[in-house]
Amino acid sequence: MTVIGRLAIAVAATFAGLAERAAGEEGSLEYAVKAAFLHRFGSFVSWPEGSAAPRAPVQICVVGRDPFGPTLDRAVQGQTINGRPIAVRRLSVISPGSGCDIAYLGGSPAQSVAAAARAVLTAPVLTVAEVHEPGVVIQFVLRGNRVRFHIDRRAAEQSRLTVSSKLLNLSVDPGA
Amino acid sequence: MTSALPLRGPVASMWGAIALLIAGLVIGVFNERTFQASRAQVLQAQARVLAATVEPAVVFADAIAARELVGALAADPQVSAAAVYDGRGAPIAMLETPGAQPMPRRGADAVPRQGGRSAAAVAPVTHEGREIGRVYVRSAVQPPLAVVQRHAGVALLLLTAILIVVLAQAAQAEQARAARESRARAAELAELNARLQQQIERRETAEEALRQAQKMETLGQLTGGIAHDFNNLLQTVQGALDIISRNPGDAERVARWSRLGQEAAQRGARVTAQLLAFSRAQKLEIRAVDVRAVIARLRELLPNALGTAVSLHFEVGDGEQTVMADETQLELAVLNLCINARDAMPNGGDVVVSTARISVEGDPELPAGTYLRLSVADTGVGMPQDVRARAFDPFFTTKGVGKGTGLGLAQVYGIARQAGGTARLESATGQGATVTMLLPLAPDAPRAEGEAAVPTPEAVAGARILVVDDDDGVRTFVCEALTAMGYRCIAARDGQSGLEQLAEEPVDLLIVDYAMPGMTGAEFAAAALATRPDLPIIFASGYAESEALDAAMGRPTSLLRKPFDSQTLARRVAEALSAAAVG
Repeated sequence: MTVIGRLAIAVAATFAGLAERAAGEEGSLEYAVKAAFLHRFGSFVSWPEGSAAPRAPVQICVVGRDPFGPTLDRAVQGQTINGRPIAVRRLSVISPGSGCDIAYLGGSPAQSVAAAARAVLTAPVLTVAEVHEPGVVIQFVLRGNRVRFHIDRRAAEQSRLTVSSKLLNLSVDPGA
Repeated sequence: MTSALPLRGPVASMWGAIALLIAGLVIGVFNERTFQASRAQVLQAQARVLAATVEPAVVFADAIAARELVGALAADPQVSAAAVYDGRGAPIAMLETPGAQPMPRRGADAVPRQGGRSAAAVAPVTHEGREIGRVYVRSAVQPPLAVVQRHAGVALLLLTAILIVVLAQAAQAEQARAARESRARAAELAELNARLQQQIERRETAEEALRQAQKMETLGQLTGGIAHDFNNLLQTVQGALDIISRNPGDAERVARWSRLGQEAAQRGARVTAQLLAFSRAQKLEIRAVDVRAVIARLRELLPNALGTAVSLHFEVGDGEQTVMADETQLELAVLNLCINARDAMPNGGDVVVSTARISVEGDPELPAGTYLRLSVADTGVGMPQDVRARAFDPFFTTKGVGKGTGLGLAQVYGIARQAGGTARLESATGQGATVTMLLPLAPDAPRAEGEAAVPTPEAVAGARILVVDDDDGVRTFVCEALTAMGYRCIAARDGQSGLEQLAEEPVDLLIVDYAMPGMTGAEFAAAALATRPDLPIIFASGYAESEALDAAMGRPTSLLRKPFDSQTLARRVAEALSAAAVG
C-alpha cells in the first residue's frame, strides 16, 4: 500500500524533477517515470499516413516481461496522444500484424528483445527498450539519478517514423 | 489701444507655449505607452516561443535542456531574467542577471507586469492541451539614458517650438517698439513740416506784401514829380479856359488856346491812366505787349520821376517790338531800372533807355532766335564784383533801411524769365551799369493800335444813339458832339429811364456809363440786350477793365476809356455802327 501510494505521488509529480528522487530511492519509482515517458513519446512522433485510424486509440503494447504493472495503466488514464486516447495491451510476442503503435520490449524466453525488434524492424512501431538492439528506436538510459533516453534515428527511419526535433534535442548519448 | 497692444502679445505667446508644452507631454506619454506596449508584446512573444520550445524539456523533466533553452535568452540584451516552472510551480530552470531584482521562487508568483522600467511576461507550457508548466520572462531594466534618448527627439522639438514662440514674441515686441518710435518720428516730422509750411506761407505773404510795397514805393517816387507836372497841366488848362472866356470873339485865340488846353488835359489823362493801371494791376497777365508803346508812355512819366539832374535819352530801334509779358510789370521794371540808375548817380549823369531787335545764337541760357534787347544804362558809380554777383538776388540791396526793398532787380529778372528771356548786368566800379533784358519776340505781332492812324469813318447819317450817363456834363458833351457829327442823340440820366426811351424809340447804338448809381451800366446793357440782342453797345468808363466788362456781359464788349475827346468818340461810334451794319 505504501508502495502504491508513493507510486501515485510519483505519477502525479512526473512533470517535475521527480526522477531525481524517484530513481535513487526505489526501482519501482524509476518505472513509474518510464511509464509516464512511454506514452509521452507518442506526442513527439508522427506515424506514416494510413497506419492507424485518426480517432482510434493509440495502442501501447508491453511485450514480454512487464516491469510496470498497473502503474502504466494508471499513468495513461485520461491521457491522450495528439488527441487520441490510449490503450494498453500486454503481449508475449510481437509481429507486424500485432497492431501496436508503441511497443515496450521487455524481452522473454519466447521472444528476446532483439528478436522482437527484428520482428517489427520495418513496421511503423515506436519500439522502446532498456537495452540497445538493432531496430530499437528509443532506449531508456539512466543519467545520474535521472531517467533519460537515447533515440536511434536510423531505426526510426526504418520504421518510417518521424521524431520531432524537440524530442531529438533531449536525446542523450547511450555510451557516456 | 497703445497699452493693450504690448499686453496681448505675451499673453498669447504664453498660452501658445503652454499649449505646446501640453502637446509635447501628451506626445511623450503616448510615445512611452506605445513603447511599453510594444516592449510587452515582444516580451510576450519571447515567452510564448520559450514555452513552446521548452515543452519536451518540461514533459520529460529535463532540467539541463530547459536551462540551455532559457540560457539562450541571455544573449538578448532586452531580457534580464527568465524562468521555467513545472506544473506544481517549482522552478525547473532560471536565468538571473547578477544584482537584478530576484526571481519569483514559485510559478504562482510569476505574473505578467507592464509599464515601469522593467516589464514581465508569462506564458503557459502546454502538452496535449493541458498546462504543464509556466514560463516567465522579464525585460532588462531600462537605463535612464535610454528613456532620455527615446524622448529626446520630441523634447528637442518641443524646446525648439517654445524657443521659436518666445523669440517670435520678442521680435514682435521689438517690432511694436520700432513702430511706436517710427510713429513718434513721423509725428515729429509732420509737426516740423507743418511749421515749415507755416513759415513758407508767412514768407510768401511777406514777399507778396513786399512786392506790393515795392510797387507803392515806385509810385511814391513818381508821385512828387507827377504832382508837380499835374499842377503845370492844370495851370495850362485853367489858363486856356481863362483866355477863351475873356476873348470869346477872337476866333483865332479861342482855337489856339482850346487846342493847348486839350493837349494838356490829354497828357494829364495819360498820366492818371498810367497811375491807375499801376496801382490796380494785381494779377499777372501775360499777353502781347508792344514795347515801343511802353517806352512811349514812360517818356511822359520818367522825366518828372527822375528829376532834372539826370539827362534821359531814348534809343528805340526799328521794326516790330512785341513781346509776351505782363504790361504793367514790364513798365514797372523799366521804371525801377531808371530809378536805380538815378540813385546810382547822386551828382547827375546820363540814363539811356534803348531797345533793339537782336539775333541770339549759341547762348548758354537762351535758345537761338530773335530777341528784343531792352536795356537801361547809366553813367553812375557802378558796382563792385561781389555786389554784381548778388544783384539779382531777392531782397539784396545796397540802399539803406527804408530806402529800398531789394526786390527791384530780382523783379526785373523774374519778369524777363516769365517772358521766356533773361536779364543781365554789366558793371564795374566807377564805370556805370547797364541792365539788359533779353525778351523773345512774340510770334504774331498784334494789330497796331495807334489811335490817330485810324481815319475817322463817315458818320452813318441819321443814326439814333441812346446815351445813358448819370453825369450831366459828360452826357451833355457826348450828346452835343454826336449831334454835331450828324447823329440823333437820345439822352437818359439813369438805366431805368434809358430802358423807357429804348421801349419808345428805335435806337441804333447805346453809349452807356459803366459806373452808375442804381442800375449799373452792365445791368442796363443786359436788360437792353434782352429786348434787342443785336444792339451794339459802347461802354464809357474811367475805371473798368475791358476783361472785367467782357466777363460781366458774357461777350466781347467795346470800352471807351474816359476821358475821351470828340474825335475818339466819332471814331468809336462809326466803328460800332458799321460793324453792326456788316454783322
